[in-house]
Amino acid sequence: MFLERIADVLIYIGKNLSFYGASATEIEYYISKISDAYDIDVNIAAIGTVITLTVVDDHGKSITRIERVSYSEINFEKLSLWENMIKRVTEEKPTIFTLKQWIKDIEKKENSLGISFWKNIIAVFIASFGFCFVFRGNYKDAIASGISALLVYMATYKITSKIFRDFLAGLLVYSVIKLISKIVSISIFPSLAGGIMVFVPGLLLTNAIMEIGDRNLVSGSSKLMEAIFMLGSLVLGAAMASALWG
Amino acid sequence: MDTEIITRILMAFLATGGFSFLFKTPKRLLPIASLTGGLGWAAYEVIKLFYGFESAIILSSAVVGFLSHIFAKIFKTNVHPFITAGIVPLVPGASAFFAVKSFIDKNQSQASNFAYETFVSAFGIVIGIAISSYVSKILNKKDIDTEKTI
Repeated sequence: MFLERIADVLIYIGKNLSFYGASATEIEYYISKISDAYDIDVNIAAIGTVITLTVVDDHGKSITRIERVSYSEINFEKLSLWENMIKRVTEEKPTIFTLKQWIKDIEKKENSLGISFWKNIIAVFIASFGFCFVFRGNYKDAIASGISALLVYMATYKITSKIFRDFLAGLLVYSVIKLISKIVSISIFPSLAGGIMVFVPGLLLTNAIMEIGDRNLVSGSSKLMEAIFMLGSLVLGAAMASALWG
Repeated sequence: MDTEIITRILMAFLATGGFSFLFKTPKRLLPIASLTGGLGWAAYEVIKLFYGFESAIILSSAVVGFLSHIFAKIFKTNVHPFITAGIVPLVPGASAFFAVKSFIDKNQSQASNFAYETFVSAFGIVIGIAISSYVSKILNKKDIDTEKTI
């Protein structure tokens, strides 16, 4: 019973870390740290979207849990809540009951951390505005870039399929910029570059690279593949729009 | 330094800030995450002037990686809020698009230039981050060893 409770809590923590953007190496590291604190033998493998965990007791009895994390929401603020809790666990070594209580407290805090959709829209505008300048655009290009990115962000906000969302984003960003260019004279290159940068899978790419560097090869290469597909969808969406517009 | 370069660096700072906000980076870390992006881009611009595009992408990615590890240590947090936001300006999203577009337009020479740029950027980022992660790990290990000795 104790073994089962431990396994359930650990897999739940692993799932949340993965959900909010931790890399496979970090998930394995954190879970191992907790198990070291409790002096329990735990084997964990976070492979892409699956976490496998086996807890072994002193008598050699073991229990395994497998969890699929098919969707993720990048949220570094929530991730840091979980990381802080893990630090506290390793320092204070609470009972499983207290640990479950801490998890409930985090979930309450998570609910209070909602970020307004409109603030996100402003952030999208600022990001694409800035990126347009980075790619040698001027004020007019940057405003066009910002407008196109925020419109497309709003249109694709609810789409959960990442590849479809990025394809649509590429297609729409190019189309909106092309429409704006018919009204105001702007350069397509910097405007488009700024607009699509917001949809680039940055975290997936850096996690993939870091995981491959840590010899977490299966997880790293599967994430790299996903990042390449997402980037490809974005680019092909924009390229298709470019062909349609002539 | 050219005012255009300075504007681009400032805008990289701003853009990275916007991007960090989208990743729900904790508010106290937002300016630092933006700074990582700004400094990474500054490194890219300066190195590119003297040593060309290839060295610039590798070294600026390494700079972003090092800064992220340093900031993560200072602020006792994860490396992700800094490295993810900082690396985004260097990701070859735009050049990949223009490579594909040039292929569609049957402009092979321009397409191969953009494809080369995309290839170098992608692998440059991989090499840069790998260098910074490896060196940071060695330094961290040294720190731990020194603490143990003391």
